[in-house]
Amino acid sequence: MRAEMKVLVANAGDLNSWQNAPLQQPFDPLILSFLSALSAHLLRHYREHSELVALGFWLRDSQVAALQQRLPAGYFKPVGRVLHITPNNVDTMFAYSWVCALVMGNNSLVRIGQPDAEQVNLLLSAIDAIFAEQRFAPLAAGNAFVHYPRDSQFSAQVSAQVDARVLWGGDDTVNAIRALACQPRCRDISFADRYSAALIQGDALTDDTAISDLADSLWRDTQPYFQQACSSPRVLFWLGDTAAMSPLMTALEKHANNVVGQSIEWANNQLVYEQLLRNQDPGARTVHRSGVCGICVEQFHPTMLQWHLGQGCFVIQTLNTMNELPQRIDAKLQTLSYHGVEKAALVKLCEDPSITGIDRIVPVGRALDFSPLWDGYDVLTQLSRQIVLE
Amino acid sequence: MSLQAYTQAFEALLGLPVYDVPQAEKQAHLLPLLSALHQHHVTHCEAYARIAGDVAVPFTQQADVPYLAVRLFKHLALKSIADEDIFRVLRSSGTTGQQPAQIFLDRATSGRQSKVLVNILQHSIGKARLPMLIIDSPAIVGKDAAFSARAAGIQGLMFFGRDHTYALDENMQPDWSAIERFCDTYRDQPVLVFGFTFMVWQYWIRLLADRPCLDLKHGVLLHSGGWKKLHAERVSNADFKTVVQARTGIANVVNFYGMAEQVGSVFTECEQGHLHAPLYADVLVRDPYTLQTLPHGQPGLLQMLSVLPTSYPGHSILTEDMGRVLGEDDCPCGRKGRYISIEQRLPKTELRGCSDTHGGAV
Repeated sequence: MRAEMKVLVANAGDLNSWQNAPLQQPFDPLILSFLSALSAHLLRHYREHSELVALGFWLRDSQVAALQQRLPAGYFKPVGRVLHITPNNVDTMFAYSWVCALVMGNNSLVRIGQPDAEQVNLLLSAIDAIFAEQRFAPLAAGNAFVHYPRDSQFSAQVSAQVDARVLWGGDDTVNAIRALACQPRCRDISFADRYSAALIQGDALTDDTAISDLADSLWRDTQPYFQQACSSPRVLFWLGDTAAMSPLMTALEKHANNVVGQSIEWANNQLVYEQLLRNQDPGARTVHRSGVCGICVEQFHPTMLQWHLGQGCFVIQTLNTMNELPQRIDAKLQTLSYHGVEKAALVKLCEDPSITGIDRIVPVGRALDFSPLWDGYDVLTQLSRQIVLE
Repeated sequence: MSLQAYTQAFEALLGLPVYDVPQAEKQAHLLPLLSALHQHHVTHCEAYARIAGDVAVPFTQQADVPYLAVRLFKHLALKSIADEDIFRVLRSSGTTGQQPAQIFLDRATSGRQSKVLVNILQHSIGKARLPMLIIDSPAIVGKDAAFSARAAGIQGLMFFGRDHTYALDENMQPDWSAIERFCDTYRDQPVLVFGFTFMVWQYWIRLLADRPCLDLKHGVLLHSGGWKKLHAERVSNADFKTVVQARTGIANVVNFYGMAEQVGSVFTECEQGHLHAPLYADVLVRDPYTLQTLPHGQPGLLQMLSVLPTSYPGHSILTEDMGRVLGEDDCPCGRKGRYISIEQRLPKTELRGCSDTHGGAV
């Protein structure tokens, strides 16, 4: 069994140490120093990797302090030993998942699916470099980063021992892990299949600058991981004047061409998706297919995203009023980003009793900003115990 | 044109020579058949009607024939027959994690595929059934009723041979004693060797480097299935032929281009190394971005036309293969019609959506 297991960060913990190393106090000064050092390292050495820079910023002292301040008052202890099954589609996500466990003082075993992906590899090297410092040895022992094959029994073995499992993946993956026996008090924090949408008020797009600003923001949410992150908008709900729709697509095309150049693969995937959508919605109308693809559908339904491959495809549904939105979405809608919409209208939307999805409502351009409040969970409190002291 | 009229026109086509009909005349034969197939599938396959139904028929030129992207056969169950008429379902050998394509055949379509394949391959291997060495494992054929395209390919070709001998064992290792026995028995006569290009290379030719050369100088090697892995190893078609001849004695090596979505109407390689459209099929090249048709010589995505399938809407498919039309009616080999070269396949898109961390088997 151990032969197929690879420990990926030599200076971090191994399969024995991560279970046996003592837990830490949440936001212990040693943890804060470690994160500070990791942040500095990422910001110094990986300037050209925007996802690593974003992580570096997220780990700055002030940001970590803000995390601590957001905790409710009370006395917290780590939940214990945490297994992380991390996603392949977002290279840096394993680090966010792990850091949430680490700041609360937990020990972690982090399963990484694609250790050879470039940014994953760089990030693992960065973690290795910081753990190499002797002062962080007490933390290093309690955190292990591993890869093992999907068909391995290892998830079952570890599941039987841990206090919490953080599961990122598709519904099938999450269910498969949750079916593995675990301790009676083990907590599962599951991040399963989700999709995201943007809500755009067309009346606000009255000039070229407004359109190009929106395109910049929308592209910021689309480009990382080629739109394959759960938080990247795949659907555009369009209110009001549609005159800016086509110019917006043209502005997005320029961004796409700057980043991926002309890609036959993108073009072909967009064609495939267009044909699949036409099968699902006979009234589907392609408004743009060059660089990015925009397809207006008459009756959006979340099943239309089942074959969505990212790579610059936007399903567009026009709405006469916000009241039409709840019937179009379901519990799997994670992030609704918005542009030109009043906050009061968004509050009213949330209050609609039929809303079962939507865990985040953020301005367009900030859909991918990670927060420990994710998918409706507060990951930090989920990965800790609160002691009642009266 | 009704289905009955289509059937008559198709039968008439079977009476014509496979490679002697000039392009203009060939198109005049094919276009009404393609119009009839389009109408047939619009009527009998709802998905096809939704995706491709919104065009004017009859077609006045080949470029007007709408196409399905080949990947749709992986995502949708595309068929134009009732379930009780399904005779066989072909499944492409999708790699792990990839959805296999499903092709629904009835007896009529399957029968057309067999007839057409016979007409085409007779030009490469003659009419006699030859002793046949199959570079594959017997485990692949007949294992279960769900037919993989690989098994279907082998079974389709087995018709052209006799004394079928499998060159590989259940574990995909060469069965050298079976191979040597076959070579000894048929040393001085024509034989047929068939396999998928990469497997012929990987599991047979490459391993012959450390063994005595075989003597199959009267043999013909038919192979198909894509060059991607060989190109990654920097093996060209010319290298392939040279090494095959050096190690097996086979001078007559014939590559052909076909796909599970259009079984039967394969494009075979001539002495010039060009892949020729048979009478029953044709090819257009489209710009991968604009999807406009491109003039001969320019590389693009291949749109494959075939007048065979009535059980599924596969008469016009936009492939993910890049290639070019090298010419028409003017190949030095004498065959009429268009001939092409294949340049590369598009990389398979990884589904890196959220559904990807660990896979189903945990």
